[in-house]
Amino acid sequence: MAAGLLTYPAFGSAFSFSDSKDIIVGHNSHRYKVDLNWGNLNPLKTPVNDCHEMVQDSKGRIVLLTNEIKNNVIVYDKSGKLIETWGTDYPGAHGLTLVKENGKDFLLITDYERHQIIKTTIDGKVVFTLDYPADITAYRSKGDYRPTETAVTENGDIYVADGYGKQFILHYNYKGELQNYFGGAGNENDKFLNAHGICYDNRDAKNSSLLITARELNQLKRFSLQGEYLETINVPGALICRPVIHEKDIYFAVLRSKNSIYEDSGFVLIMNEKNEVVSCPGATAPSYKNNQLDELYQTIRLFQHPHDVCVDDDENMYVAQWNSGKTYPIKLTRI
Amino acid sequence: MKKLLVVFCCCFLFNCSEKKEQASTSFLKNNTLELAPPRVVAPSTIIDSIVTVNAELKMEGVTIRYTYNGEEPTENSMLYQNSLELSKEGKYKFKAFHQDWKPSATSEIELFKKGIKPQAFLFKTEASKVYPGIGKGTLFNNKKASLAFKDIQWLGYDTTTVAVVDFKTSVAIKKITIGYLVDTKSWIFPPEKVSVIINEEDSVSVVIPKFKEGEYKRLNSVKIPINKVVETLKIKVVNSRLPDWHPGASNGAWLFMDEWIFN
Repeated sequence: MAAGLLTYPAFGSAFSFSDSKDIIVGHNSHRYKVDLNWGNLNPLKTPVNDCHEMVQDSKGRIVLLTNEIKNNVIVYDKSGKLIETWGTDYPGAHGLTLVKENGKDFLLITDYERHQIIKTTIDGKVVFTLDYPADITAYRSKGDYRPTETAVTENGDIYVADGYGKQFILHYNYKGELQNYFGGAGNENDKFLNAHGICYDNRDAKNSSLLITARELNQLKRFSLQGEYLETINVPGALICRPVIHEKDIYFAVLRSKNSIYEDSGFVLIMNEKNEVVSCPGATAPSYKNNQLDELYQTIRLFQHPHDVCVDDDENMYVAQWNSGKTYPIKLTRI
Repeated sequence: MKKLLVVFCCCFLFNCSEKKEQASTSFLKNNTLELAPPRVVAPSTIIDSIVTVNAELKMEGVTIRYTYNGEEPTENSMLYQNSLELSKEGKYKFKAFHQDWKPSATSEIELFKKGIKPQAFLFKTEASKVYPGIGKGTLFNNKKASLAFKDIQWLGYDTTTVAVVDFKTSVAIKKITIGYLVDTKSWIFPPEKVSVIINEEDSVSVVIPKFKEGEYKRLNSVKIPINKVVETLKIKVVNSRLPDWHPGASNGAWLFMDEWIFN
């Protein structure tokens, strides 16, 4: 076991320091400086509760979703300056997905307390809402439906992950008509425990698919757009929240380290285009033995409960945190 | 399965009260954040002959130092290099150090000498049906539980526990160690008091100090000095009530025990 201290992982050094003594976190190709002051606002005027998810819109602005109903949506510029806020009707604001339609930005807000998906314009006007899937017999009432995330394909189809509910993935067309559903609760390949996040993966345009986290299982699962199970990618020790694809890489906020005895043991995880973990800011350096990833865990007390990451067009990252003392996001500047 | 047995403390707050008006960037500097506490793992914490304890914090440049005299490890404490083969009972404390990070909180593991197994035991009160452990033998099977209250090595009581243990012959007992769980968020608290009647003649009691307001999750134990030749012991473990500061104040607390060790 002490070998962990003596034998360093195959992937480069875990942490290093520049002359200026700014700390650097992460490994290999993805290393960052840390700005804890980014986006800090006056909590009396613009408070946050849980910072659940973030996206960057077409204008380059950083859009944060919080379940603080004084201002559910906070829009920043990349420097962390407040641009605007809106939204007071989303007590269970959890999932935030950017949808681009004919050059125009829209948002899909997943609200597990309202048991609804709400499509809005980028400035907060409601376009439509999707209610609980009453046609599926597994759902006896709206209370059974506690969705956490959406993903949208080029043709406007919407996939909803019912991550705090029945663990189904619901497939709607652009009009909001239910087309299919799959998944459900369980340990089996095609099932989920905490189907918390979902994204549309078209990095391989000929074989586009869905990536879905099974957070409690520390797994990322790939499904076809028709809902067939394709593969599982194991990330031992990491409770991954949602996959976020940026260029060829996948970024994840990790809520907790599985076997930590303290709760606030989260970190950030990055996979390359081969879905290999290459960097874990705040945690152990990724290392593989016989193609099996070693268990990952928090090594520095930087993050508490990361819940989502957003990667901007400068390759910098913003980390939104759940249950972390009502703190604003942390910015990681890539070096 | 290996148990992960670590006790830690940490306090971590971000300064979020000041609005940042300018777009200037201030990056985090060296020695402003703590390392995470080392992971300390042992296959068992009950020593038959020897227990192997491993500590790690897999990060370049980290050293781990440890003590077994109850003191907090410092940079001058013994350097952890390889697995420790331990035969001495007590509390072992580990801390991680790195030149560019603040030292970690302390991880702790307590090892216990294997005790004498009673020949018979009779419980006068029943454990909760929800947390029956692996039956009445749970407290005498030389198996300690993990921090997870659902671990089947925990026997859960919502009443006072009363049991008579019988060695069927005279044995010299120095002390009894009662292992219990603290998980305040799950309403699991230390017992209020342990009383032992020795051979139906003498008695000894130990009162357990109460926690101040806060959230605690740890493995703990209380030791009751006996120092007598005994045949039977009547043991009464009084479960506490939730303190005033707890959200469930005035309700009875849960009492979770994993092992009664007779040395």
